[in-house]
Amino acid sequence: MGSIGSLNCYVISTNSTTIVCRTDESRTMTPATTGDVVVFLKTSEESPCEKPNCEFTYTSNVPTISTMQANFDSTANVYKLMVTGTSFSGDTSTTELYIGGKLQKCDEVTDTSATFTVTDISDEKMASAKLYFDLGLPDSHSSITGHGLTLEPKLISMNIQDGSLGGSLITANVQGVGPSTSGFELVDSSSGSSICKSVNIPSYGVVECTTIASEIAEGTTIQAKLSGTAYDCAGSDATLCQYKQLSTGTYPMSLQPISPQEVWYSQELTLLPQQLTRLEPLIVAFMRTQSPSTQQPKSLPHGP
Amino acid sequence: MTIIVNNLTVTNTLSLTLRNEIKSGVSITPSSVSPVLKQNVTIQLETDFPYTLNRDDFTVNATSETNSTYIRYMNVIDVDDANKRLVCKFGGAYSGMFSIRIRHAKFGLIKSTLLLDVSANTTSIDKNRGSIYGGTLITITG
Repeated sequence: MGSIGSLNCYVISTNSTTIVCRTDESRTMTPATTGDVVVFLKTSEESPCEKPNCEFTYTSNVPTISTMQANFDSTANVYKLMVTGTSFSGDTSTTELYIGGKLQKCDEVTDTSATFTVTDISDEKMASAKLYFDLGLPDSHSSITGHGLTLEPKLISMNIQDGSLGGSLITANVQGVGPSTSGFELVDSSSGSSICKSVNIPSYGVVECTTIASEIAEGTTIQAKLSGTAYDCAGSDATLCQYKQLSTGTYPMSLQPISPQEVWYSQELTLLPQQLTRLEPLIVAFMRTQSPSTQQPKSLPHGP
Repeated sequence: MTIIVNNLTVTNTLSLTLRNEIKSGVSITPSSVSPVLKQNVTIQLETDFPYTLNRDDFTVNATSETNSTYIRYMNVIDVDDANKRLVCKFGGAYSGMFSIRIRHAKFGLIKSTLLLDVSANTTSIDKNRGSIYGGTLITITG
C-alpha cells in the first residue's frame, strides 16, 4: 500500500524493485496540494524516501471530456468508441479506456478526441466507462461513467455455410455481444425462427450456435436477433451470413456410409473423414452415453 | 573421557577430540534484502570446510542486532559442496541489521561475522504530479 499525503494509492503490481499504483479516485483533492509518496510495507513499516524525489502534487490542469459515442466501422467490422473533449494528450500509450473494468484498444488520440476499438465488453449495454490519461482522470470524467450507450449486435460472418442435418456447431463473429448477453439468437430471416438449439457466447464477439436438427433451406439468410429485434448481416460479404442444412447436402443425417449402424462398446466405427468433421460432436456424445458395464448396443442420437 | 555419576567414576572408553580449527562463513550474497519479500541468500563457507555439505546438517538464522530475541530462521534450500556454498531462503523481517548464525550438525557453530541488512528504501517515482480526481498511475522505484 502506498499513500500520497492523506490519499491512498492502490497497488496494481509489484516486483522486487518497483511498485505500480493508481491514486485514489474516491475524493477530489484541492489543486496544488503536495504530499510525499509513502510506501507502507506489510511489516507495518514505512519505506523512507528522500525529498524531493517522492514529492507529488495534485493538479487541476487536466483534460476535459464531454461526450462518448459508439459507431460501427463497417470496413474493419468492429465497434469504435469516440470520446471527445479538450486538452487531450495525443498519446495513445498513456490513454486508457475501461468499460466495466476491461481495457479497450486505443487507436488514436488527438487534442480533442480519443478513439478506441471495442475489444472486450461483457454485454451490449456496456458497463460504466472510465477514461484515464497520463495525469489520471480528466475533468468531467463522470460524464461517461453512465454513458447509456447500447450496442446493436452486428453479425459479420459464420465460420460454416453448410451444416449437418443432425445439427452443427457454428461459430459466428457477432460484434456488440459478450458473455453476459442473454437472449441472443441466430434466426432464419424469412421465418424469424431461431436456427440454434443452444447459444453460447464464450467471449466478446464470439457466438457459438449449435443448430437445430432439421432442414434449413439453401440460400437462407441468417440474422442476429436480440431482445426481439432482428438485425441484418453487417459484414461486407453477405454470403458469410448464409446457411443451409439439407437432407441432400454434403453432410446428410443419413448414416448409410457408416458401417455398422449400431455398435457395441469399444467396437470400431468407420466414418469418412468429411463426415467425421461434421459428426464428431455427435459421436463424442454417443460414446459418453454408452455404459461400458452394460455392454448394450445403442443407436446414434439423430440417426440413422 | 572420565564420567562421574554420584561421585563414582564410571569406567569407559569414550574419547572426545577438541577441534582447534575454526571455520567461518566468508560472505553473504546479497548482503541487503527486502523486509517483505522472500529472497534467496547465498552464504559462502571457507573452501576447506571439512565436511561434505548436506542441506539437513545446517541450521541458519538471522538475529536482530538491536533485539537479540528477534530471530528469523532461514531454511537451507540448497547446498553446493564443490564450492562450499549454502543457499537459504530469507522470509522477511522488520527492518534492521541481522547477524547470521550458522550451525553444522557435526562441526558445531561456524564462526560468522556476516551481517544482513534488511531494509527497503524508495528512491524515486516516475511522475510528480497527477489529477485532482485521482486515477494517476505511478511507478515507485526502490
